[in-house]
Amino acid sequence: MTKNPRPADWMRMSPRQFLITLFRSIGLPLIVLIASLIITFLLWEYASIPLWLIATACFISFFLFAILFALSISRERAIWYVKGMTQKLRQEFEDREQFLSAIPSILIGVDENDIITHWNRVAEGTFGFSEDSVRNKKLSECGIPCNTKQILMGIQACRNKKEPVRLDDISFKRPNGQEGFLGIKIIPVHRSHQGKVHALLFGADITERRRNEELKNEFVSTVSHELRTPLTIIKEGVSQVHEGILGSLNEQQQKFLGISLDGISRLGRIVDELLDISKIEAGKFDLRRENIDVAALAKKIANEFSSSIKERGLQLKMECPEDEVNIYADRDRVAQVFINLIVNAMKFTEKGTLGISIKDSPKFAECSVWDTGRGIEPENLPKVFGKFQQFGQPTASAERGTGLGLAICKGIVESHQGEIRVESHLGRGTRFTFMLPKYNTKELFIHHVKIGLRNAVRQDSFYSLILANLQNVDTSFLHSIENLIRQSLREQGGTVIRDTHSILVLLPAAGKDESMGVARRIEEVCHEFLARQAVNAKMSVVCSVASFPEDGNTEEKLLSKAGGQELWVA
Amino acid sequence: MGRVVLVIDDEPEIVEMVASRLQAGGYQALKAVSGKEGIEKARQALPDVILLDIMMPEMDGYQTLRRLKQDDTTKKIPVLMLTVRAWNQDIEKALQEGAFDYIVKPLDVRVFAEKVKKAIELGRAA
Repeated sequence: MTKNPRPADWMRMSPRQFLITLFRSIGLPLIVLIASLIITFLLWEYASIPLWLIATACFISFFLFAILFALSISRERAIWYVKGMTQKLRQEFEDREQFLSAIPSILIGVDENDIITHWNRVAEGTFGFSEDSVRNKKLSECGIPCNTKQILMGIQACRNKKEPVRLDDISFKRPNGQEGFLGIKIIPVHRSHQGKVHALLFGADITERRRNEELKNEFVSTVSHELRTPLTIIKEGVSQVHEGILGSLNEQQQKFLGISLDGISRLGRIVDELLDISKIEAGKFDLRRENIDVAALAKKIANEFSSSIKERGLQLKMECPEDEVNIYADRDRVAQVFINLIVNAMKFTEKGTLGISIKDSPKFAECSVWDTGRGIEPENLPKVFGKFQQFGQPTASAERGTGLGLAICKGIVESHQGEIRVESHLGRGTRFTFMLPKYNTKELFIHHVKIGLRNAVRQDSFYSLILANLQNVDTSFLHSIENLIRQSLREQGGTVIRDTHSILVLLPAAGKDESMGVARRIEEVCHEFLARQAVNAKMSVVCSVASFPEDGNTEEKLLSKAGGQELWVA
Repeated sequence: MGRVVLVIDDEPEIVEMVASRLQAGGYQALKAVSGKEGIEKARQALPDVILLDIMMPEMDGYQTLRRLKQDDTTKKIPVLMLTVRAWNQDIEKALQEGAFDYIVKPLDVRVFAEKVKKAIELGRAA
């Protein structure tokens, strides 16, 4: 069914409006008509002009009248239309302004030159500056007590990327003088014909929320301390007696203390798991990421478990590439995932095989732990990663867990931006697979420089990075060189990230001169080291430095200034 | 004469237990139950290794570590942080401030022995 086309606006005149328009349009044409008729009449009366000529003149007069009338009426109609549209636009504009000022968050609008065009009531209340006092001023010069530098960089980034940008934890001074924090989202507004990009800033005072988060973290960390301190005392006491440090024991005493120690370790694990899950839920799972070889890690763990797997009468099968499978991850946490999955598989497998496999692909390292155990019922499969979920009775010798292990695995894998899944056939076995993303150098370096840069801008401090290019350096020396660099940084502190042919050193709060000094020192120790190896005379380490703010204010600019262009091509 | 290890922790029971374990391992153990006391003992006795708790009232582990690293007489002594592994940032911060390594509580007997031994070897080398 087709919709009837909407009649054009000018057709929808009310009858009254039409009469008014008619009346307005008829005046001038009527005067012209009457004047020309009078002239014709006078000419006929006094100039004895032939009748046919007079008739023609009359005809022309009417014709003129008709044309004039038509022109006039369309002019009136056009005026009526424009008037109506103007009114409508004004109404719409007023509505929009009302919507904008009714938004219950801070709303600040800036044009392409960062001049403030909007400043709503919430913004007035938050900063204590009225709209009149800041409107038409530059954002950087309007004097609001807030880290405008960071906001301006955000706006710039938003214009460049042409997509919304989020800024967290921007410090500002509340009107009562207290320190506060803002969360801001910047949205680009395109002017379709001029190619200019205005920006709208939506924000909220997140001081309270931040304080609550800090309290929660503090709580978790206090509870963790309070639970583990007595646990440490009990464990130490019992194990020292058990080890015979304080005198010899009879067999029964030895056995009972052994059982107590198992219980204590189990209690320790439960405390750890509860704290891990609360950290995961608070979104505060902090990772200590570094470059790790996940294949070597899996082999090491399999080795540690091999005897207890054999004791249970199971076979261990390992499928692993010979080469390194490098990922950027938290070693202890990835190990925890493997251990949880292996322990889990052992619990539910009476006979057959327990397998661990690692597959390398360009984007992911795919790790699996599989078994030929009893499997999981299809209806329970979607629930295995839930909290406190336990299915089936474990084998006789296994200890009962908290039901948190798999939920923690999922949390760990997801905080690495990976994914975990499970396949299972009842009576035939189960396979857990988790994929950990591999990062290329560019993504990794950009990610780190970005975090550091954000902090530097927030604290209004310097920030430097040193890119050490390893030329012709054999990969077997990479570890040693990384360690050398770490050692030479002991005094400054800083972060070191390694790739196969470059090492990035991030120095928070360090200015250009200081970083140049550090770079020279790194070069010296590396040269000394390489000279001692005397394998290949061509091996060298060349450092280049880039500093914020003098060398740029974006992660891309800093990295390319530090000579990282080749990274972009690679 | 065994190597000297100074244990600093605000919980006297933990200090007692750790000292006992160290003595069983052939070390001579010194005890301190606050950062202040620890710094004094470190200056006097110049131990080979310091075991230092992070979470302590008044002067916490970081402050104590900083003082130790600023003092010329004590700055070369390797410091092992004792922590309940609350947050990774804590460990990261301690390492950046110049700690040699960290040991997680409750103690793993094997790891404890290894890390203390390694720290002593490094202290001797330096």
